[in-house]
Amino acid sequence: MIKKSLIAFFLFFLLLEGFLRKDLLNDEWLRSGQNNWSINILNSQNYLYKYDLAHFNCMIGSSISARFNIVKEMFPPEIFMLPFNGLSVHDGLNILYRKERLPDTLFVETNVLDRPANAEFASTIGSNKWEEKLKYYVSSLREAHGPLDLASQVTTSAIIVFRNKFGFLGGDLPNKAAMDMVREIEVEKQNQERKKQSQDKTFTHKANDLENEFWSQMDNLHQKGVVIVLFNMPVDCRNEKSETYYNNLYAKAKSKGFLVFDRVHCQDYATTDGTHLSGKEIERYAHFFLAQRAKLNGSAVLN
Amino acid sequence: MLFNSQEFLWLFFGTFLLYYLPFFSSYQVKILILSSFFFYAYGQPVLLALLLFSITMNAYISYVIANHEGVKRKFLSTMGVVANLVVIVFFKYSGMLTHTFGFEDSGIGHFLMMLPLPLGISFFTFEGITLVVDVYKGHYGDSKNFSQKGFKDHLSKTMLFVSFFPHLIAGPILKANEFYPQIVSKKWSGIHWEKAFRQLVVGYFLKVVVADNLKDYTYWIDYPNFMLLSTTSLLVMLFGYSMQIFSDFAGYSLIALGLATLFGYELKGNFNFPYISTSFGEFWRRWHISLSTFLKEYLYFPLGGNRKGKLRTYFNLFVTMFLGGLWHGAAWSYAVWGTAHGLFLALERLKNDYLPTSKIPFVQFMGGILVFTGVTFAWLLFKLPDFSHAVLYLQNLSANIRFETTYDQLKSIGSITVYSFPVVAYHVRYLLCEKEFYQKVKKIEWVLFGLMLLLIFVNAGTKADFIYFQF
Repeated sequence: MIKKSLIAFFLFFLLLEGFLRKDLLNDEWLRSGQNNWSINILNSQNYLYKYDLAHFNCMIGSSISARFNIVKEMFPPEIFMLPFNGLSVHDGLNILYRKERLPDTLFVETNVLDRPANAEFASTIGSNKWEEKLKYYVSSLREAHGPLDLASQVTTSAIIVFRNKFGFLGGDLPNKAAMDMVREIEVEKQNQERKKQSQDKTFTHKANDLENEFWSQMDNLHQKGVVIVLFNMPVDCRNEKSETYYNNLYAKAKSKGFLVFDRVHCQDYATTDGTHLSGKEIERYAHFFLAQRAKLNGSAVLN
Repeated sequence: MLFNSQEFLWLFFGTFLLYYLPFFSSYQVKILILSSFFFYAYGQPVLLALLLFSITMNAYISYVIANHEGVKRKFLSTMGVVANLVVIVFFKYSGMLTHTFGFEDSGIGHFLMMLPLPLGISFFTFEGITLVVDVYKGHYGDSKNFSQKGFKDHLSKTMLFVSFFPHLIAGPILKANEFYPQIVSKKWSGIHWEKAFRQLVVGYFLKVVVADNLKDYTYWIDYPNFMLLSTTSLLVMLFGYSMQIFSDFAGYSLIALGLATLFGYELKGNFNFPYISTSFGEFWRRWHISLSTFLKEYLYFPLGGNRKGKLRTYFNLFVTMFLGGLWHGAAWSYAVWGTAHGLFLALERLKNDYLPTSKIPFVQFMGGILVFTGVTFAWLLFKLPDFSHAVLYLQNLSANIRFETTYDQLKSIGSITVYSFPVVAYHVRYLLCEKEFYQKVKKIEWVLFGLMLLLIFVNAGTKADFIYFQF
């Protein structure tokens, strides 16, 4: 029974791998991550195993810049969005180093530099070189290729057809009062977390270590020929770090030969929860971002 | 250390190879003990001291009981049970009691609130109790073995009994009189490969494919996310969580059984298709069997069981389940969960005392639906330990009567349906096992095992702790 099961396993495995290699199973039919963790993993794997342009740029950051994904179509394909929800630039840097080629230009969001890289996330992507190599060559081992997710997509489509047919089941979106309440609770949670962190002396110490590590990573990439561009998202008015902090940060970046985008004030932009730009505002800021990039392109400093 | 982590696989294979090497055959018990201690200490090395203290204490008390006769035995066994209860109350419940009585701000209160919760404490203290009580009652078999082979031998057996890594953190709760006789030299040729293969494949499938994927969708039950959901989604989420908690815990138990089988030990099954139960009594004979057996033998029976009249029986059921609920976690919501089950069982007993159980299939089917609904709604207190959040969830059920319109929510419903299907099929299989059709399908079950293996490798969800680790 064990032998037969193993033979069946290998046959199924070969079949799936064959389908994936021949592109008979569209990626969008397979796992389309829903929560932040899955989305981050899928995004990383797409970057590591699929993204293959001769010249490319990359953006890293936290959930603040991950909002750009809402308006992804505004960005040219040579910019790969690698900011992660719930994580930070340190996680993005870990992913960058896993790919054989480094980007020509790296756009770095500077709002969250004091959040350490998530070890669990790194190990999910691949805890060692062997695992990464295996995932590189065997598509079916990647998290993005779950056959049961294909079944989920089919079931979801069937539910949508059912819902549309029996229109009486169609309902409203969640009421505004509930949405506001959930948002307030989330903001309150974030504020409490920040308060706790500001009272924690070891946190401040760790934050300094993380910032030092950030600079050394930037220096390293810069030496390897990557153009570093720092930018700051206009959010977090209530908890904004002091002007002096950012002035020092940007002065340091310039002294190292990095590029910086102009800063815009958070009061000029509306957010959903104080930390993330609303749909319209992220579109407005994306225009600003691309204009800044064009300005630097015009001066021929970007690749 | 998770059973599906790389570090565990290294530990397991290393231990397994050493264990069966002829050169180490006389060190098998020691190899298992050392691996188990490493397994336990991996996350929080300091807490190994508590495990060692608990093992030594129980080994010593049970050894002394075995070597004494008369009244002193009873005194010692009582002290042994009390000592185990003190350990669990101190480490698990002192924070909750401090909070309940409002002592958090005092020096002692602060200290108690900061105490770490040692992994698996509820399991290893209960096993300590079974050892002490079994030796006292003479269930151990020949207690005289203790004095003949000496304390050192008994201590080493107790170490293996309590710390044996497949069951250490989340059970099943072993009974001394069933495990000690199995501690003998094991041979490679004695491994029951097919049994282990079946247990491991089904166990890992339930855990990493079903439970770990379902958790990515049932997270919407968390406060305050659920406030944005419609009645349809709230019900589907709850159903999904019911499937998730079963596959998570039953998966863990099967993996534990499979690993133990590979080392030549036979642990009793912890689950027996619980969701096909047509009564609450039957549910508890099928769900977390090792705990319900423990509660029955070491709490319900000593309280008088059903031997002291009807009213006392209802009361005993109620008290047993209340304490069983509290065993699950240091929060009053777990006590409420246990109380709800106590109430279900007491009401069911009351009904059975006056109305005979119907054998009509339709009535039994409706009974099954009722039990599943009651059990599933009660799980809400596991997911939302803050009682007020659970109440809010129920309020939202009636307040948000509509169907989902957002794609994300529809995707959640679709995914929960797909990932719950194996659990439903697993239970239906049990119902069909006598049918001719099933016997035909059974002949090609290797196809199913091949498919489950494939999904374990290519469709695993993101790694997550076992839900029962927290208990």
